[in-house]
Parts: sequence; C-alpha cells; structure tokens
Amino acid sequence: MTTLEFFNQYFGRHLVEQTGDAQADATRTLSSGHKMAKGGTAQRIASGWAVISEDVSTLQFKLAATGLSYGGQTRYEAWLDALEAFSGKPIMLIEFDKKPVPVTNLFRTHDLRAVQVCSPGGAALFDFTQEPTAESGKAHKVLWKLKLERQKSAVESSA
Amino acid sequence: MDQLRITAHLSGPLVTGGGYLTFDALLASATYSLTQDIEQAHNQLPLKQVAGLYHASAAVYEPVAIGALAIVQAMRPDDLWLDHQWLKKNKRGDVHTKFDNLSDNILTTYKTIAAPTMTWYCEGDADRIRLLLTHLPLIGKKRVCSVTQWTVEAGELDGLHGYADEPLRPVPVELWDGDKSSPIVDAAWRPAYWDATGRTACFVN
Repeated sequence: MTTLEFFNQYFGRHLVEQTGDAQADATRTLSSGHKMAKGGTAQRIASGWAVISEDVSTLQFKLAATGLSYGGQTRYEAWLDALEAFSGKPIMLIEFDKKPVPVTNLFRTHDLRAVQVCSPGGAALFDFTQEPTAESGKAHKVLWKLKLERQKSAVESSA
Repeated sequence: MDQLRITAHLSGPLVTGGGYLTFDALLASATYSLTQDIEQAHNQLPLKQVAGLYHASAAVYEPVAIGALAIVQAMRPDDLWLDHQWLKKNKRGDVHTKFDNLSDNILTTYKTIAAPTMTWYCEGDADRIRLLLTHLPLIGKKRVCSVTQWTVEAGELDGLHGYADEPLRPVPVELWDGDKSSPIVDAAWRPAYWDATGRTACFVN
C-alpha cells in the first residue's frame, strides 16, 4: 500500500468520495470543506492534529463524519500517545494549519527511529529513540520533554 | 552491465531538497533534457533495472559544512517565456498576477551541503553513462552546483547493497533482500521521484 492509499483508506474515505485517483482524492480531503459536528457551513480542516492508523484514525477538528474518532488532547499529547503505543504498524501524524497540508508532505512512521510529523511546511523527521540535540526540531524536543514528564509523573505516583 | 563507481567533483555547495539524489534520477534528468521523452527518461536508462528498481545508489558524501541558500525564484506570471497554462488560476480562471516584491514571495531558503565530491554506485553501461554525464554540468535541486569533473570507473557494489549489506538507496520492503535492521521510511523508489503517488515503505540507510 502506498502512502496516499494508506491516507485515503484510513482517513480520506470517511470525508470525500473516492474516485481511484489517490493524489486527487487525498488533495480534496486536505483542501476542501467538510461538514462540521456543530452544523453550519462546511469547513476545511484548518487547525489541530490527526493520528491515522489501521485501527482507528483520530483528529481534533470536530467534523460530522462518522468512522473517525475525535480527541481533545494537544497535538503533542496525541502524538506521544500514538508513539508510546506504537506496535510496528504504520501511523501518520499530521499537524493542520490555515494553509492546507500538501500531499507531498504526507509520510507514514514505520519505525521509532524515523518518526515523521507532517505539516503544511514540510515533514519533520527524527529518531525518537534518541534524545534531541540543540539542532533537533521543535517536534522532537517537545515530544521528548513531554515523555520525560510522563515518566517522572509515573514514578512519583507509584512511589 | 558492469558494476561502476561514479564520482562528481564539485565546485561549491549543493542545494538539496531533502531527497536521496539517486543516480538514476540524475541520468533521468539528463535524458529528459536531451530527448523530452518521459518514457525514455524514466524507464530506459543505461542502468540495470529489476521490477522497476534501478540498481543505482543514492549520493554518498562526507559533508564538510551544512548551510542555507536563499534563491530568488524569478518565475513571475508576467514573464513572457512562461506559458500561463502551467500557472495556478483563481476561481475566475485568471492567473494570479498580483505578485509584489515582498521577500516571502520571491525568496525561498534551501539547505545546502558542501562536499568536495559525491559518489554513486551502480550497475550500468559505462559508455552510455559517460555520454549522459557530459550533459550534466550542474546538479542539485536548484542547479547552482557545478561539476568540475565526472569520473566513471569500475566499482565493487551493485548500487543496492552496501559493504555491510545495508541499502544504498530507497528499496521497497517487498523487494529488499539485504540487512533488514535499517529503519523503514516512506520514500519514492523510482522516477519520477517528486510524484507522491509512487511513495511507499522502503528500507533506507
């Protein structure tokens, strides 16, 4: 399964009709409006995050679409949840913003040594088995810090 | 087809788009420039190809410096040479023409790699490769890096497997028969490398 087929199969098909053109279908998912849970006019996914996986795909933006799960965590909490539960099955981590995420920025994470966070500006790639360095990107640094905070909380609560 | 080692001697920093700069991509670029034939550029290169996968490595290099270069894009909708059919249109079908001189409109910053040489390993036809390389005086995402000399010599690798049996280029998981301890990432594995529809799970080094 290609990257875009994965995106359409586990996320896009819940939002737009599939035509068989993987790139066009993925582009419409990311750049067209979708019905909101609260009603009103259709809106493009212009904020929040998504975690796409074979088991369940979750996003923060509250759409009307069924078949998707919705979460209220921050983006880093949601991505860290996904990385800590990583079983070896591919996942896709996306950060949405006002500018649509181009399909060329979509990558799956298959291995914690090569985590990819997709966003409108690109895809951050980092080794999440290693501590970030001064040159590391924001996602790596924030996720690592959050991971350490969780570990510290777990130790304190068990003591 | 012989096992070959190709070396480019570089005049300055190379602009990278973050990809792997595989040797088949370089030859595809030269072939398309010469023939304007996509089929030939993508599928008839003088390289061994099995199940669509070229036996041609990604660029191997030792960077002496990593930097950045801001480039003026210089593509404006009022450029006479630019065919408007390729430009994005607004809802009325008109080309966006209200470009101004703000820096974020015309400048893009790219990562650069400074290295004295870049090397590729492949299996291919040395004579035909030498001929194509004469048409590649510049390499990189933005062609600002001059190649002062290309050398083509006998190599000892097949363009896929490294000395430790590691992948020398993105190889789809189902096609890889070497060491599987390398991380798997989504990557394009054959031309056109910019096309996201061809991206799949690959072993890379």
